[in-house]
Amino acid sequence: MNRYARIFGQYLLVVAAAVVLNFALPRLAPGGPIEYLAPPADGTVSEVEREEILARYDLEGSTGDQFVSYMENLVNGDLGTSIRESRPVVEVIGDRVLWSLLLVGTAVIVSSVLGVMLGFAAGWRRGSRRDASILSGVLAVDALPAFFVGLMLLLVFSVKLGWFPVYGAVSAEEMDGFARVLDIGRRLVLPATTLTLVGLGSVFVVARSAMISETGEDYVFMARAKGLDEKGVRRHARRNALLPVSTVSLLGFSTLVGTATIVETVFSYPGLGSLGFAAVRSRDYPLLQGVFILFALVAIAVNLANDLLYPLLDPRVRQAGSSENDS
Amino acid sequence: MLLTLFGAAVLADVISSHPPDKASGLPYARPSSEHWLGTDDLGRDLWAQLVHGARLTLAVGLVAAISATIIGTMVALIAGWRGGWVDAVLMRIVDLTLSIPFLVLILVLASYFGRGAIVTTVLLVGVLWARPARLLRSQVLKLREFGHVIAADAMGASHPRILVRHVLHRLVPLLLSQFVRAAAVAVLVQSGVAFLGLGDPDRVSWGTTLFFANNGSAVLTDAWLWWIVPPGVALTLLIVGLAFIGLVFEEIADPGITSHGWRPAVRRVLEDAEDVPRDPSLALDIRNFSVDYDMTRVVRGVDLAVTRGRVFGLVGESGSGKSSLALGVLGLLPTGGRVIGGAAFLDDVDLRRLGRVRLSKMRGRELAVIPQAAMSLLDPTMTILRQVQESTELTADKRTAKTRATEMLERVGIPRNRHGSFPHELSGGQRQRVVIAMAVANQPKLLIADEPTTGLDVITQQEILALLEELRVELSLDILIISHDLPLIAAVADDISIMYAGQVIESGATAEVLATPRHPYTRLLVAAMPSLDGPPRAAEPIPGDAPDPSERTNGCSFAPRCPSAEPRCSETAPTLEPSPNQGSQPRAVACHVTDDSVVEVRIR
Amino acid sequence: MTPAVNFTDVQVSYGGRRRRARVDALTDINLEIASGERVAVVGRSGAGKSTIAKLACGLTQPTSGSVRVFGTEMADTSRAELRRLRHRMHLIFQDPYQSLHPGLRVGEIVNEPIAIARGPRASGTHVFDALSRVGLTPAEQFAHRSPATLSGGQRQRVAIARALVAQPELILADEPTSMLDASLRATIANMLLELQAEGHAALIFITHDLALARQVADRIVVLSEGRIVEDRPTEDLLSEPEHPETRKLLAAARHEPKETST
Repeated sequence: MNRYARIFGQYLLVVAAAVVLNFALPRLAPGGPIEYLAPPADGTVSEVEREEILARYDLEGSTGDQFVSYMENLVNGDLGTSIRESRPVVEVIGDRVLWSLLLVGTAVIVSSVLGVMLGFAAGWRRGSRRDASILSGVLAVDALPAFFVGLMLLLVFSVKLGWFPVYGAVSAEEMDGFARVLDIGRRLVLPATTLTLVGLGSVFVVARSAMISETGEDYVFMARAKGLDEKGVRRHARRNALLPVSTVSLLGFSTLVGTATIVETVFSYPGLGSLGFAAVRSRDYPLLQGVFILFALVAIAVNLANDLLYPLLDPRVRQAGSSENDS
Repeated sequence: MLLTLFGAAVLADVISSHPPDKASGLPYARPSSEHWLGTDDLGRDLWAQLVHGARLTLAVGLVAAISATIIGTMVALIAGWRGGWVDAVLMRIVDLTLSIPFLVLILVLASYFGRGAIVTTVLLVGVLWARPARLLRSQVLKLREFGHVIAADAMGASHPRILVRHVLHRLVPLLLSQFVRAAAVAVLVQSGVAFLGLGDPDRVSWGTTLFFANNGSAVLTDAWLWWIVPPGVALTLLIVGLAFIGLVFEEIADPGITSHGWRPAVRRVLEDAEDVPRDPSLALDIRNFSVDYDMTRVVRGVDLAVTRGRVFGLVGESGSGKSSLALGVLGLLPTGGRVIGGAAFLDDVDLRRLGRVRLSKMRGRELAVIPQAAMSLLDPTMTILRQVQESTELTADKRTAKTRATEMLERVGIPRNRHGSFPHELSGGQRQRVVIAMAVANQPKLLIADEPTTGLDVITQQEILALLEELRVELSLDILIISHDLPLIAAVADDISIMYAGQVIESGATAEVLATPRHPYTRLLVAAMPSLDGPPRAAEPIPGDAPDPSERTNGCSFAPRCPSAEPRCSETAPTLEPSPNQGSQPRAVACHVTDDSVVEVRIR
Repeated sequence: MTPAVNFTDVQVSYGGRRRRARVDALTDINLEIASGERVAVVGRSGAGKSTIAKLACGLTQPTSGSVRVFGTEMADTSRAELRRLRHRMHLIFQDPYQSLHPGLRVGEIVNEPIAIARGPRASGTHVFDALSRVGLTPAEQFAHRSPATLSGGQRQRVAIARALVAQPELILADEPTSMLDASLRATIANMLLELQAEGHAALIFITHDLALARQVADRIVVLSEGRIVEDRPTEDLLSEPEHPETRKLLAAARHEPKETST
């Protein structure tokens, strides 16, 4: 109980920091939003217009007042109005969230499963031919920059072969039921493949080295000594090797969320990454702030999940932080 | 490969004649002698972009990686060394930094703070330091508990000295691999940002080239071949190169003492075991057994016979080959170990002639073992009952197996309410009891116990030995017990063999061997046994050290340390010959000098 | 003369909030060890033996009570003062595989006490002397080897050579022979005694084996569950053990031989 209370306390602090940072960053930046949105009256914009703009984006009054209204809006779920699209940021983000989840979720799941399988297969017999070939294969794939993979896949499969649509997550025309699902699936293949290939490496490397270190453990030797067959022995090694992997694939989630920006741009996929990117390019500060706070919360949630899940997997941590036995 | 890339970056002005950022030809020109890779949509030379781009890409990567590694290392040292709340706070920050979708963060920050190369580098450092910090810190935590670090502290060394000489020194390989990895990530992210059009607007990098390619619709024309592929391939090669360098450093950092036998001993050199009639009174009959370890002979033609109903003790110092012998018989030699010759009969079955699979089917059923290092033999993620049940399931269905596992655990003295415990919740003695329960779960014929009490205190040792003796009687086990501890073996074994440098040098009934040791080594061992009775006397050490197994001489391996060595001892090696005995058990000694005295006794 | 080590009402408890009491906690420890005295601290694992050594060199602080070393109260010392105190003592570990820095040469390791006490440049022929005295000859050759190439026994000799160079007035030996083979135990024990006699140092020898304790100590302190249950001259204690824990330890160390079944 105590442990959980402490963890939640810590995370509350972090959330508070993220919220403050989100408020402060644009105001600290040189040539911040105010100059951009509402340049000092110089003829093109009148004093009245300037006031109006400032009011619209909650930029009037002292910094303290601004912070108060920022917090009020935040608590009410109001993230302001997007400049680019002239509608509430919440709405703009809402349109994209599901697509992002679909893309990143698919990639995380596939790359974790594949990475763990390959990593365990390679690490079980370190230095064997199988290990060497899997290792060099995955490292080579991992080295490919996301945009390069994306461009090449796009080029080969969409442009040259015409197997998959070039862009978008769903076609504009109305479709019903199954056809729609199929269409979404078809458009998901290339971006998700790109993202999976990019995310594969980190999971693989951790899975492999975890497996390597477990195969050297005495309990694996004991499993063999007590007469288990190779399948049984592997089961022991796998259970333990999964512990470090779980952390990495959770952390990998947020890395992929970031990389998705690139992939979404290449494939013109309507996710949050490309939205953030668009916000950056068009200097849509309210939208940018909205995206930033969302990503920050995702990162924090992932961490929290890791902190809460890990003890369930490892009995040694479960016992209220009992320290390792020496002697 | 990497050198070529660096060379191109340095010599960019020499090897490309066109400016990278100004039009020098027609747009969309195909490769020609003038423009090696053609031009882009604005007529800029792509070859020039490639070699000039290498500069910025590499510079940003290197600077960011170096700074990030330095910062990460410092954080790791401070957090790992200070521990406590400093550690907790720093690691929380590290975890969060790690879980930030950093590409997004960089995009956001770049939009606030500008998009120059310097800003990008600073931002990169801001996210890249966390990974090395986390990894190095866990190493620092481990190192802090290492003997030599504590020793330095206890000798009064200053903290900076300990950190630099004892901690940092040992982190170097890991540090390098982390540096290389950071460089790779830095290059990737930097070009990713540039690809999105947020790179330094004043300079050329590979990412910007690709950005223009993506926006200039290269994909839809044939221009992609010389526009997209070259920088993409260059980037990939750079990252692959870095990844492999990183891998090399990682292997250095963690040479991973090769795992316990993923490849059971190869049995290629199988010479015919002599068909000596089998003696039915023997539980285990090992003949002329030899084991090699990475081309070094560690067990040299050992004969050993465990008589039914008697406990057999095998004594030797570490490195004498006693454990290799046992593991060889069991088919559990680690990588590099291999049985070279000989036979090991359990009843009428030569274990050496069984295939790998059939031998593994014997283990845990007819043939059981209590391996060394009992403290870590149990799977930390499984309850002890489940682990014992894994053993009983080898011969019974699930339900019976569970009942029997419960009974076994109770039999070895673990009360029922602890059966759901995980290994770390048990004391060393209790863990050893669980291992024993697993070993005897299926009523094996023979139990090989390799150093079953090492690491336990004397009282627990005594309890474990008593338990083994009870189980021996109850389950009519035959036991081969292996230890470096002569007094311990003397107390439990009926028969004894003493190994030195891969050979048995004396064997016989324990009482006889201890009363009248014939080999000089045995004599010295017996003399060195500390005693609690009689007048206090100084311990008599054996001079010198055991020989290095890779440096074998022709003569007796004990000759250099032997007080009664003669010239012939260093010329020919004595073999294990029968020696006069009193009881029913045969005796044997391998010594030239003792042979003579025995012969003399006979003549008189 | 001030005793080398003086424990008064020492209590050590770990992790007060936790339900499961940690091992190695000490209660009401009163112990005085004079210069030149050889004391064995004996007990089963978890009795708190190692904590005594850690307290003596300031690696652990008592929860209450006072630990004085060479007359200095350990709780009040500054880091600099503590380091000067530590130059006068030497700790020898159980595990020779861990206690030597694998990245240094044997010569550098043996020279460390000098380098630490008098600056990194200080060194001399004493390194070779010490190596020869522990039987690592030719010393010049051993000085250039890396610890990874040595056997367990040789490593523990290096540790003793390092102690010889340190010329300590207080030797803390934490089960220095428990990982070694029978034939090496006597060797290492004898070398320790030589080291102790040379500097007329106080020796605290930690072990669970009374037979070994008898070889090195003239006084034995028996610990049980963090308390001193017996503290007497060696031969007295061995001939007339009073406390049941001592009797148990004695019986176990004797390995009461079993009746041979024939």
